[in-house]
Amino acid sequence: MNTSLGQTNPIAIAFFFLFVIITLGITYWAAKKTKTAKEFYAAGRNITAGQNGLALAGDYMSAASFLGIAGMVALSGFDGLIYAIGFLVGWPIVMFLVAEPLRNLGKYTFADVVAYRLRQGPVRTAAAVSAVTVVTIYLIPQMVGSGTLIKMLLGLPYEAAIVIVGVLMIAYVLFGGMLSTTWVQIIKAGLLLAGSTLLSVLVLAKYGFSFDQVFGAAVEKVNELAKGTAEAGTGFKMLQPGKLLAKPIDTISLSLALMFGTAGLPHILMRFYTVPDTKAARNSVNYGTAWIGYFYILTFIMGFGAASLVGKDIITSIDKKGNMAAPLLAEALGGPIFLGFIAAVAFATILAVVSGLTLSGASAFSHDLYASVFKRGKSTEKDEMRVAKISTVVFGLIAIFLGIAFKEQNVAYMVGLAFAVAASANFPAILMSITWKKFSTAGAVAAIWTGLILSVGLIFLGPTVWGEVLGHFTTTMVNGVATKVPVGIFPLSNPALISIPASFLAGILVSLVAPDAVAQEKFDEKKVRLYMGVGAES
Amino acid sequence: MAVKVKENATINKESTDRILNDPDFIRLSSTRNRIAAVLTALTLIVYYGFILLMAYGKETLSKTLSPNITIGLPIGVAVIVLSWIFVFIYARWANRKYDSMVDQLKEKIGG
Repeated sequence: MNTSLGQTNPIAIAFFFLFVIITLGITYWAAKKTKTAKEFYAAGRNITAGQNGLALAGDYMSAASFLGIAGMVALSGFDGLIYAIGFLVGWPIVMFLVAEPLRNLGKYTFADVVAYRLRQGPVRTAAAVSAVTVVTIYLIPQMVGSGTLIKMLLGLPYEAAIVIVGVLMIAYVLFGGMLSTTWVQIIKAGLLLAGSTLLSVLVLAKYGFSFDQVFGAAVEKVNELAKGTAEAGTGFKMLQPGKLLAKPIDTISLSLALMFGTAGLPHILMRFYTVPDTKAARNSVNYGTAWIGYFYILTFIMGFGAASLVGKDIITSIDKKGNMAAPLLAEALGGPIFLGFIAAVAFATILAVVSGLTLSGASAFSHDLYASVFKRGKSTEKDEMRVAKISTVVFGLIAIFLGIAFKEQNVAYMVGLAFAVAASANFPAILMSITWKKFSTAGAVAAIWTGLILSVGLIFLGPTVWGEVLGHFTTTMVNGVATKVPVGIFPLSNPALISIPASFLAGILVSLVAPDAVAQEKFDEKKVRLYMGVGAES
Repeated sequence: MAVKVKENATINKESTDRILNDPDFIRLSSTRNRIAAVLTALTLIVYYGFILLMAYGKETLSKTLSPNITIGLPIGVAVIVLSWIFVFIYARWANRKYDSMVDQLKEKIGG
């Protein structure tokens, strides 16, 4: 199969322009409705549950999901499932533990909830640093991905692609705030769901709507490609749990990060303030989970479809990690027009996700650090808005810089890292501040810093960064062949198994040693607000 | 439809104590906590059950249902669907029962 990937695709560019024109039009409309802080951070709290459900899905289904998981399934088969499932099971946790309390207790950011009855300065500072860390780590792979993707799909130079993405996301957030960011997410989610559905239906149609034949064809194709090699006849392994799970303890650590990280992602948590009340917050999680679950089931059909209709050899020749499996599948099924459409969808996906990240990163600066810590809650709304807009531009420029600085680096591991940091630094503090009366200011600060420093530190010392990135290897025998394996000072590739319990432990111990009488007194009032929504921001 | 309560965010100490000691509030908060805890536990059991099966039960998951469908595939999809069903159950319960419990309590205490 010949692919036109890597060449300028006029159809992709046309779709891409259409998306940009529509979203800039929305931004123009949203700009007129974005004057106050409530409008900038929370879209005036006028987003409906149905809209927010799609926007949550839009924020969550990043290019890592669409391109990454489909690619992983195409290359590793069954093992790709573990990511698809891991990303989804975070949502019940969001629903049962954080969505409603967040809506009832907070205003614009998750730090509002953690700092609710504690001393603002130290808690907000820690929460804002942790929010910015998570957002930045999440942003880097998205930016690098967008550069590579646009270079591949539209034929533009890498740096130009990064600048285009950066400028567009700054424009959406700067002028249209949360309102235009939300609509960009909704449109992107619609496009992504429609595109994935179409791809999956075409794959199924090709095999007479028989799942057995879809999987069978993938197995056959792997066997055919492996003929005469050491891997001959191993096609059926596509349908079994395999080597990704060689170390179960690594898998358990990763799955903890995925499961509890979602409930600590600042840009996701911010969405619960955009709806009018608790009921809408809860229903938006219900809709969002349904869309995301449906999408992850589709990634499976797309992945196996790419394995049989495109083939491992071509997928890896374009991109070693398999990230181009879905676009290649589109080309195989519908020629350059369908490729162009899916390319534009992938582009919209990245653009929407980076916009959401930029808004939440800027809010941590303006709402948490500037208004609450630096000005001790005494800044005017006008000042806070000005700082929010400056932060948006600065944050966007930093993103462009990082995107270019990390060019051609392997950054795929950073998505798992962002989830690990969110699960270790943000989630324990949020949960304890909601549920535990004795949680104190010192305890919150200890929980956040412990989770943050430990998760980032252990990732650095782990096999991915210390081993692979910094070049520390050991040679072991795998099936009688000497193989170079990356080693770290810390053995696990994901730190969540250690850093999540450590954060809880630090929070509990320090709260008991350094109690906070005022905070305990305020807990009763908070409890009424938490369960009944009395006094929640409207 | 939720009753809009317009009072200030700062409720005074006395009325807070009154609400907290109201048997209806105690029932409300403990029911919510119990349901959230049970559903969280179910999610954890389903998910980690699957992870452990992947790690230690490879043979079981590799058994075939039809020539090219291993049992692990539908089980994996079932974990996704079940997670959503748990979310759906919670939303339905909260929409139907919890909200009206809150509304009744608000009316009773004169919100």
